[in-house]
Amino acid sequence: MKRPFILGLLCFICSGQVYAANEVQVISNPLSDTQTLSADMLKRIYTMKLKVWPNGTPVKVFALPSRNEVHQAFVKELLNSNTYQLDRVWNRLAFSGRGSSPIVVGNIEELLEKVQTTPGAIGYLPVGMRVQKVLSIKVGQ
Amino acid sequence: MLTFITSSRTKKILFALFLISNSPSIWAYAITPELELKAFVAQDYVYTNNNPYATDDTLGDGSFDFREAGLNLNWNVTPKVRFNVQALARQEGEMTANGLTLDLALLDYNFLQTLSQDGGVRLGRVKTPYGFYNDSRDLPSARPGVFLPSIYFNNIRSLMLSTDGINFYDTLELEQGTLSFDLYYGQRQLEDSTLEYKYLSQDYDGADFNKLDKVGLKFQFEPAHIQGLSFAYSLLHIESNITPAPVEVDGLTVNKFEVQTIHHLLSVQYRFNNVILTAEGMRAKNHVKSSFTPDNIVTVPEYLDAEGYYLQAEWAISPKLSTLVRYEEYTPYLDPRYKLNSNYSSNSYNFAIRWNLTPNWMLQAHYAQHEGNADLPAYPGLGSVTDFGKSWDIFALQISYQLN
Repeated sequence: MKRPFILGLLCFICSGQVYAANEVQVISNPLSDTQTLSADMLKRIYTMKLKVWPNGTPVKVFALPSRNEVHQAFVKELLNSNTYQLDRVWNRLAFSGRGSSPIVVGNIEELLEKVQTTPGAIGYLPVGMRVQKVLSIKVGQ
Repeated sequence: MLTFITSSRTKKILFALFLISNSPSIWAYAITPELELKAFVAQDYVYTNNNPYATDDTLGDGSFDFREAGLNLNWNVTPKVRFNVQALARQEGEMTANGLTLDLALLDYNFLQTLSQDGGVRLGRVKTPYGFYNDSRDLPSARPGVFLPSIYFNNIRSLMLSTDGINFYDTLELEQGTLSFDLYYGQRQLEDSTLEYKYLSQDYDGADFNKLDKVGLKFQFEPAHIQGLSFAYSLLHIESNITPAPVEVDGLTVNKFEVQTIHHLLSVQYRFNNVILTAEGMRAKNHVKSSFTPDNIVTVPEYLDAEGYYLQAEWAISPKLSTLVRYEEYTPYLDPRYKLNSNYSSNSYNFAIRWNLTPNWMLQAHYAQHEGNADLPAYPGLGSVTDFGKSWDIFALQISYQLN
């Protein structure tokens, strides 16, 4: 019984870095061939209702953990929601059997790598982060 | 049960879970990018005055015999093919539907994927699309409060929950708004005595309602020009027969006992700012065909139309804290000739509060003041609901953990 306690304590001590992010940029894999999205389409992608890009390539949705500040800023600024509501939408999809939720990765470096290497992938990063091999998507009204 | 909750072993496990859940770096959120695991566990405390709820123990000091745990595995085989399976372990006092069940096991072929359409077919054990809350009714974070509105029939949950068969679905993005529909057909083997208690008042050896035939549909429309508004209509048709027939029950011969029920449910929801307003109204037409020997037995009436509705308002005070108020009514026998007692209907005022402690931990409290006993769950040893007081209160506290 000591093991769960010690494991939990170690995990708490080794919690990830905190990223302060006031602005977020949306990125996609080059195969999406998309550089602009409406706010409605972005929300439909992240609520798993829109599954293909305009060119027919399947969308692969990546996200950061709910506690991540970049994720929180993305949900608040670009999806006009909060992480609790979005988690609820994703969980309802899974537990109703009606769909799957985004692939959650551990940190922004991993998210960037996934978007670079996964055909049709979409993700988000802090503004100002230098990126290569991805498309930057402008989100309109 | 109190021992389970307060034991030092349990406390250590819960504390470890709490620490782990605050450390996102440890999570492998997907087993592989295509394979995803979600789970939840919830523990409730329920207290009632005057009337027992699912167990006699809710009277007096209250009961901790209310808990549930779910495990959901989703495998995206290809962008259009998905496999989803879910197991649920549930205890709700002494109700017969307790235990471990396979809630969901389906193959989803989502062959229609365009910018304006999302459709396909699901085969296997699929959740029943009915109203806003049925297909995710067991997920604590998806429920409005600890208890669902009475028109979701917690008493006959196993009939409502899922169907073994086929489910066609489609969502269309139209100029006028978003239109989605579900059409499903199939059967379900009942593993509990839900219908025996509903229609025979007890579980007789050798006489069972084992199989349900189910067919239904659901339409939902969200107008484009009024953001946050949703309308839905759900239809659910269930048939079941007692088997074997004829069968000896308590000195009688049951020659035939066939149950057919058709539920019509209208739903509307409006979300604006931090407020969600919801109203749903149900009309159920129940047709029972029974034949007994001797034939002078007073049985369940042949036609039992039932009706119920609720009005609900939710307010998110902050992203972590939300409250809910709800008024609901349910009348299982609309024809006054068949009402067993003036207290065999129900209405209630509900108040609930939800606190998202962390993205994984949630605490809910729910209080309801009831008049009437129509939505009291039946369980072995309950007796007749007409024996109980008309006015009763229920209080529940729930803590849940969700692995996202």
